[in-house]
Formats: sequence, C-alpha cells, structure tokens
Amino acid sequence: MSNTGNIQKTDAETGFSGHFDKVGNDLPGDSTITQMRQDAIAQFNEKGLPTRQLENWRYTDLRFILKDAFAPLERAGSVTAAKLDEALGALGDIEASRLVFVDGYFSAELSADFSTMKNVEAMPLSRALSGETFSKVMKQAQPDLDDSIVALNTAFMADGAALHIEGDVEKPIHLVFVSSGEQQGLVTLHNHISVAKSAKVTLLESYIGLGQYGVQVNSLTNLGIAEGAEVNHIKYQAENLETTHLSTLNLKLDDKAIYHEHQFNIGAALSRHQHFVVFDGERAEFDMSGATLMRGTQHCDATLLVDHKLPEGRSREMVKCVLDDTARAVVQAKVIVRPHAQLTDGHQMMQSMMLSEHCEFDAKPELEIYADDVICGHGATSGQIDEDLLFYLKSRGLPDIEARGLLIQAFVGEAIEKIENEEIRDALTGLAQNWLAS
Amino acid sequence: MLEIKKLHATVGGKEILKGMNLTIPKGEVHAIMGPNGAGKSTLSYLIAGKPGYDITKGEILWDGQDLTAMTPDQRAAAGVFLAFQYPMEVPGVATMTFLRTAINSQRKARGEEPMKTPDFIKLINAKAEIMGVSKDMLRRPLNVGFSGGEKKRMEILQMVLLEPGLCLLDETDSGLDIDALKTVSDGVNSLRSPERSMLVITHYQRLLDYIVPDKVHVLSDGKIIKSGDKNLALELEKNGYADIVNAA
Ligand SMILES: Nc1ncnc2c1ncn2[C@@H]1O[C@H](COP(=O)(O)OP(=O)(O)OP(=O)(O)O)[C@@H](O)[C@H]1O
Ligand SMILES: [Mg+2]
Repeated sequence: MSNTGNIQKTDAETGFSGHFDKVGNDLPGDSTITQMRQDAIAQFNEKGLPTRQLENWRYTDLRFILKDAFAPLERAGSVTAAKLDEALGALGDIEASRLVFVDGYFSAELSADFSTMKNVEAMPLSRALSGETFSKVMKQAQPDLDDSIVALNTAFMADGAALHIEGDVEKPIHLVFVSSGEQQGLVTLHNHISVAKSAKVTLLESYIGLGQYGVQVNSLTNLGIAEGAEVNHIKYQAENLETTHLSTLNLKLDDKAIYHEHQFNIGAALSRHQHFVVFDGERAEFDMSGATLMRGTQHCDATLLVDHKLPEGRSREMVKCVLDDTARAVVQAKVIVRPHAQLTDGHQMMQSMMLSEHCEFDAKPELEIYADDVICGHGATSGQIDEDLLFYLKSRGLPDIEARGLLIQAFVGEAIEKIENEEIRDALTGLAQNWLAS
Repeated sequence: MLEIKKLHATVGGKEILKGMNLTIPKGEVHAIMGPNGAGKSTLSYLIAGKPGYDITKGEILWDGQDLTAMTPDQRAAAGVFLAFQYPMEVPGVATMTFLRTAINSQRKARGEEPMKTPDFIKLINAKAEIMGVSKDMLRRPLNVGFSGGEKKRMEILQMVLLEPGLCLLDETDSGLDIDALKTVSDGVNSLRSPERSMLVITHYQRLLDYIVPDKVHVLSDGKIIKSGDKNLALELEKNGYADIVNAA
C-alpha cells in the first residue's frame, strides 16, 4: 500500500515532519512512548498523507485539501466557564461530569472533580503518559493500523482523556474539546477509554471552536468494551469553519459488549470520522447513527471499517446527511464478515437530503462476506425536501424556513431519536430544527 | 368576507377553473358540491396558496386583502385554514411539536407572545378530548399510521386550535364513521360565529344535516352552475348532477 514513493511531498507533509523535529522531544511520555512517537513519524514520513488511490480515501483528497501543517499549539488560550457554556449552547445545560480540554490542554479549572466519583477513574492523558504501567497499556492498545492520520496522532499526541469505567456511571461523562481560536495551530488529542465487564456509561464528546482562527484537530479514541458492558456515545462536532477535524475511533468489542453511537456533525471546513471496529467477542453489538448537516463548502467524510471476527454479532450503520450550497458528504462503510462469524446481522443505510443542486453525496456501502449463514444488507438513497409536506406545514402558519427546519429535523430524526438520554436527545433535535435558520 | 371574482386557474398547463365567482360573507357557511374532477379541491388549494396552481385571471380577496399576493403561511396568519381532503403523513415530526410550532408561528405573525407550555398542554388536552383524538395519537409523529378517519379528526383539531377566520373543509366527511361524523361536525359547529366564513366541500348531503349551510353551490367544469339554499343538496341527492349540468 506504499504508494507515495514517487510523489513529491506536499507542504503539509514536510511541515508535519519539520514540526516533529522541533517539538517531538518535548512531548509527554516515557521512553516507551517516545519510541512509539518516533516509529509513527517514520511511518508517516515514508507514506505521507493518504492519496485518493487508497480505497478508503477515495472521496477526500487530503493531500490537496490540507495546504499546510500547523505547528502544535504551545499553550491554551483563555476560555472562561461562561464562554464555554455559551459555546456549548443547549449541550451546556446537560447534567454531566465534564472533562475539558482547551486548545488540546487539560483544564482542571473547567473540569469536574472526578476523584470522588463512583466507578470512574479519570486522568488527563498528559499525566497518565508519564506512568510506566500506563505507557505499556497504551502501547498494547495502540491499533496496528496502516493509516497516516493515526501515525500523525501517535507522533504528536499531547493530551486527552484517560478513563477507566468500572461499573455503572450515573451521569454522562462529557468530554469537551474547545479551541479558543486565538491562533491557528495543531491540536492532537488521544483518548484512552476502557470499560470493564458489565459496566455502563454514557459518553458525550463535544468539539467546539470559538474565535476566528482555525485549528487542525487530530483526535484518536481507543475504546475497549469488556464483556457485557455498554457504552452510549454521543459525538457533537461544531467547530468553526476554518477548522480541520480528523478523528479516528478504534473500537474493540468483547463478548456481548454493546456500543451505541450517535454523531451530530455541523462544524469544520473538513471533517473526517474514521472508525475501525473489531468484534473480538461473540454476540456483541455496534450501532452507529449519524446526522450530518453541511453547507457552504463544508466537507464531511465518515468512513467505517467493521470487522466481524466472531459469531452472532450485530452491526448497524445509519448516516443521514443534509446538504446545502456546494457542501459534500462522503459515507463509506465496509463490513467484513469472517468465516467464523456465523449468524452475523449487519445493515447499512446512507441517506441524503439535498437542498441545492450543487451539493454532492458520495455513499459507498460495502460488504465482504466469508461466512455462509448471515443476514446482511445495505441501502443508499438521495432525495429532496417533499414539496407537498412543505406546503402542508406552511398552510398551518409555519414560515418557509421553519417548515424546512422541521422537515430537516424529521429527516435526521431517525439518527437521534434512539439516544437514551432525553436531555441530549432534545438538545440535538432542537439543533437540527434550527440549523437552517442559524 | 371571502370574495372570488372571475377566477381562472390552471394546473400543469390545463385550465381547471374557468371564471368562477363566489362570495361568502362573515357568519355564513357555504357548501360546494359537484362531480369528481370539477375543480373543488383546486379551488381550496388556490385559496390556501399551494404551489403549482396558477391564477391566470381574476381575484381572491379575504377581508379585502389580496390573498394571491401572500405566501401560504401569511395566508394562515391572516386566518385561512384548509382541512385537507388527504391530510399528509409527516414522519419524524412529533404531533405536539408541530401543533405548538403552528400555534406560535401564527401568534408571532400577529405580534403576540408564544403560548406558555402549561397553557399549551392544557389547551391541547381539552380540545383533543372533545375531538376524540387520543393521547396515543398525540404522541405519534404527525398523522403517521393514522386511519383515514383519525387523520380527519386531527385536521379539525388543528382547526379548532388555530381558530381561523376562514375555514375550508375539503371532503372532511369522507372516511368518517357515523360517530366521528357527529364529533367532527360538532367541532366545526363550535367555530361557527358571526366573525367567520366557512366553505364546506362535500359529496354527501348527510354532512349538511349536521353542518347546516346558508347556501349550497354546484361546481362543474370550473364554474358555479347553480346556487340555492340547503334544499339544493337534498335535490342533488335525489336526482344527481345530470339535469343541472345539462341545463348549464
Ligand atoms: N397536477 C395536476 N396536473 C394536471 N391536472 C390536474 C392536476 N391536479 C388536478 N388536476 C385535474 O384538475 C381537475 C380538478 O381536480 P380537483 O382535485 O380539483 O377535483 P375535485 O372537484 O376536487 O374532485 P373530487 O371530487 O374527485 O375530489 C381534475 O380533472 C384533475 O385531474
Ligand atoms: Mg377533491
């Protein structure tokens, strides 16, 4: 898959290497981590940014889009609690325990006190990395993924959430990643989350951007869910329009582990959400649904690789995209069912609502099945707002923009309505309804 | 007062209304009957402002205002309400959210404050009970999976909640069982007032036993060809349209 041998390096590619030469030694971690970083940057230097020849990067030309590599931000800008709440909007009112990172740095001041919390161990990664035991765990959890974005993340990772969930956690844990927007720069986040046997937790993960400057966010989450444990994960991405958001979820599911994810994407100039999901246990469940609302020249890419290694797994991917102006959404999901994974039940659905003639929707569901007794299916549709419904709503007094807002909310509703936490569900429903008018 | 003057209108390039005149003073209920395809629903869509229905000549005035210059939501705020012949299913839109948005949109257009949540809930519960709309229906997405009769009740519930000045009912009686016909008619009658005009489109005289009209008109081939009092409906029920259509 090495394919960059003859290609001239882009400014961004040389930029990342140069930044690592400068700051690589100052990044947190013991010798194990330092070695990981060096291996990762070597891998990146060899491969470069992904080219469109790569199957999973076919519709997002990162080499072209990423003009420059920003230098890692050296310190956190100032974000007050009031500012943060305002930026979080409806999600700021959610009853939750927050872990807040400003410009990629942990903020104790804005975060809740986790020390007394039941069934949760929480620590900023920057601190965890200096512990010897943790770095060994990290190394082990590190995905063996041939992926340049992951390599860059390993090389530059500076902070993030290190969480261990031991039992049922009552309140949602809210991971907040906020950019002050005071200057442009690189923010590399790494979350390491382990969920013990039979534990249950709701994770809310928000990315928001203040100010005028954009950042390059590279965020990786290593999430391991042990036997019978359950994670409800809501990801909200509303960064400013100068921002590039590259994120990776590396998920391992043990026997009967349950993972439900709901994404809500409205921000950033470019966002890429890649998922690497491995069914390492039997009868596990992966259910991801996404609402993506893009306009202007925004580009959002959700690319998933779901690997059913063991029997009786269930996987669902459903992404709903609302596109206006010249926005573009890419949804690719590849589901592999290995010979052992009998009785796998997999389904993918990708749908778009096109509000303009100039937007683009690229949907690519893919199945690779090596077992004979499975139920798998996929579908993709693309449509417009139904004019008859629009008239029906308007005839009751709803102005055009509100009627459209309601129909947009109705369209993405399926991706939100299964969120267990009512406050979060209502907040996102409201955001969808008001998106067009905002 | 609703005034329709020499109205010509086309749909998909085809002329459907061909010089129609109709005046409904405030406080009056008029019924329109007529053969299938005569243009009855077209007339109601033209008043409500459905896109794709083009007026080539003539006027539609409500309270002296030119409705044709307004968007559908402006017409609604001015008091126009159409109970659809085929109410739409709107998956994903919660009925309560829709009702509240509709009420508050119209209040806003009139420069009024939005209705407070407890007041709204109280109002809905009271009116829904009268209209025989169950709690379960209110919890579902708007009209989704409702039976034909349930959809019609929901239409009239909306009308009762929005208290429009001009009520247009397009075959509200079709699909209703005998009890529902009574409930729905009671709902409509509760809105009869010296301040309101109503237009009831129907094929059946029976509805007019419940909602007794001041005038009955026969619409055929895009024109009113005969008008009379409520006895005209009885006559039509007995003899059909043939004689009147041939005489016109
Ligand atoms: N979009 C359209 N394109 C072409 N013709 C149309 C369209 N919509 C309606 N028509 C035609 O206009 C005529 C009037 O239709 P309309 O629905 O107003 O009749 P109606 O009097 O309400 O009939 P019914 O009693 O069956 O409800 C019919 O001939 C119908 O086929
Ligand atoms: Mg009709």
